[in-house]
Amino acid sequence: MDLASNLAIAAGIIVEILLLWETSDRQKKNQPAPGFLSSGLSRLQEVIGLVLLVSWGVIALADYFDPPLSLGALSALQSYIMLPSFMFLFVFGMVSPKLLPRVNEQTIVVVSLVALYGLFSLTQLEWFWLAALLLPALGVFVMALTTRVIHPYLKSLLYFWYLICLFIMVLQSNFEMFIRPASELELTLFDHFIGGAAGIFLLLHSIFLVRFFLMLTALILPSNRYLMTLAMPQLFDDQQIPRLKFLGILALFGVILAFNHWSGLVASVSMLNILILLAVHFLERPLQLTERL
Amino acid sequence: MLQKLETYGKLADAKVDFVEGHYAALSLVDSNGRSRFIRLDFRYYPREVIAAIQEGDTLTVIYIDAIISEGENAVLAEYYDEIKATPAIPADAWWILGISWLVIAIQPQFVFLGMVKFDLIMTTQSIFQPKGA
Repeated sequence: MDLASNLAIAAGIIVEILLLWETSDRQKKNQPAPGFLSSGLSRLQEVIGLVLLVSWGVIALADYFDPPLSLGALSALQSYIMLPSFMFLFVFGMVSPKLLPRVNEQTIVVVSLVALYGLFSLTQLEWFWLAALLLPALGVFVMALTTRVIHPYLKSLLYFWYLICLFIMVLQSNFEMFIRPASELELTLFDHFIGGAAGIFLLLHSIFLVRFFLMLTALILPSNRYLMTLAMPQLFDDQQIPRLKFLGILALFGVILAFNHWSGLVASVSMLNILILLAVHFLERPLQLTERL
Repeated sequence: MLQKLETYGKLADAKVDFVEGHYAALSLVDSNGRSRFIRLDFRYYPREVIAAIQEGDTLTVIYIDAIISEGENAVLAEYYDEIKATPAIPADAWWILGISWLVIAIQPQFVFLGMVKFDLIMTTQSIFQPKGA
């Protein structure tokens, strides 16, 4: 893998970590520091924009000049990218999951449909597996169309389903880009960038899936169930966008997928990852929120 | 490693350069005619097979024919199917995992650390401290 591809992966990872931080801040209603350039943007949003600009400038230069680096230098560069990434995943996935974005039923619907679309386009499943996957997706879809506030126990099960969907995406993702020589894979720098961003997001949630599975065991004994009631507000949001706008966004995502399938503009997995990141980070942002509580 | 062996695995004869503790260092010529040094981890093989491996022996191995991470690993061709069939998690570990899970199911407070305030976690009415105790 050449220098530009490594830099694209690193840039994707850094941008995604900043986005997680920004989403977490915004969802916790922390007062953000105002931006230097525009009062409509927070300082962190401006930093993300700056990092994007600078990193793509550096990637473009690295791609243009393509400096002949030795295998040892490239391996060292990969280590410098991977070691802090794994530290981040361990700390924020297992020890203190404060950067996990809060999701609602609508986000879970989008993530479920995208993950299942990817799965069904790759493999054919037996009817019982199909039923096991479609029934929860249908249940979440119905919940996303209602305005009823759901019980924390049910929220925990929905969140578990969301983590499973993200894990399905991990299994589909082409992490071979990290291990195979670039010449063997027909991936663009943009694919590497999205691979880095989606990789850190999906792996963060996959690590948290292990912890959340253990947290779910609190539901077994009635005396422990209050723990789940206390934890769910950190992970689940009760605000949803209006029903029609949500259905419009779903339709838009469908059109994007169909167009990409027809045109082959971006690698299929990259497009699915982009849609998931959009849903998690931006689904509620540009629209008027409907307060449900 | 198994996934990489599945993708890039090639059969070759390798010479044992030296044996040290839990592994042997081998050398072979790869499919591009380059000389490669590889490592044979002993953990997958019976004791008598390991004992029979001596410096200077020639072994038939499956190695990873690509310059990638873990590419230095190889397995004995004769035991490749057995190694592939070895469960990722040994049966003994399932017992330990099961018992650990049972403990967490009874006292799950610590898996909520970092997510729920510590004093709220500790107000739990556990099965060992019934309400009002």
